[in-house]
Amino acid sequence: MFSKIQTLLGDANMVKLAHDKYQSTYLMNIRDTNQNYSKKISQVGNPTSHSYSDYKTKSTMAAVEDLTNQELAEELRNLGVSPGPIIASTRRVYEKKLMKLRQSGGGEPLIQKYQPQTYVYQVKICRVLNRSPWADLKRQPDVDHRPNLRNRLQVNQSQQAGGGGGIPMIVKIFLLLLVVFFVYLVIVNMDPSSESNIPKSLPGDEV
Amino acid sequence: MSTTSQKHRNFVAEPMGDKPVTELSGIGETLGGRLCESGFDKAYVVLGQFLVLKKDEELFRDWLKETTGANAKQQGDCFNCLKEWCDSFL
Repeated sequence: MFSKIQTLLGDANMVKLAHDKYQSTYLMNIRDTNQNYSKKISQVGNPTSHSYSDYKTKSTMAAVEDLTNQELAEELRNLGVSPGPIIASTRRVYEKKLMKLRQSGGGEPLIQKYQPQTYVYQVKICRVLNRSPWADLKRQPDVDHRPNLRNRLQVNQSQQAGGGGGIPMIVKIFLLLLVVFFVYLVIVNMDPSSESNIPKSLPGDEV
Repeated sequence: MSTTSQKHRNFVAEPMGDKPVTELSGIGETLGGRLCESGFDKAYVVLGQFLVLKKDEELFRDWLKETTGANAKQQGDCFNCLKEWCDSFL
């Protein structure tokens, strides 16, 4: 009886070991596939930033892990970041930063932090303009030597991509006019000489 | 009045010398242990990392999160502590 239990346990152990081995190889395959897939994704790049893909060099399409330290620094400089030394302890954070910047269409979120006032205003202007028919003309994919302008345009793209559900300007102006109209009514009725405007009784009512 | 902790005020009041990494604001026993495992056993080594990242807040917080799993508050406390120390002594 006891030996039967032992053999059963032994078999269960073997099954468990086999299952674990299968699971680990299965998971390893999944992980490898995911790694290759994510590498491919980072190689292909973000589809919404296709307007900049024309002048992207070959190295930018490589996965961040395959770049050398110098190339990684070069990529970051192209996106407006001024990286410090890329050494063993800093490489990982710079890789993540590059991936984040690539995914956001080459945007520069740090500029937003340091120049909130003027920058948000410019983003709003550009967002309004970008919704117009001149959007294609305005969004020129040129590699000019004015990093600030390019970064602003790039972030505008990302802003636009993220803010597609915002209230359009015309509706805002309409609502504002409505509010102004109501305020005008209130002020008019608050005026002491406005008693003549308010009828003491309705014409249809007879007490 | 600032909202810094006593630990923060203690750290930024004097040169860090050979203080252990747990003296940093936001770094307790657990995070300190993880930093030591990664080789950052003294506060000045973490300062070195902070400086190599050019005192950038986003990068430093990212690095701290990667290395120790620190939450946002701990990241912020540590960053502010080092930043203020640098402003006074560097």
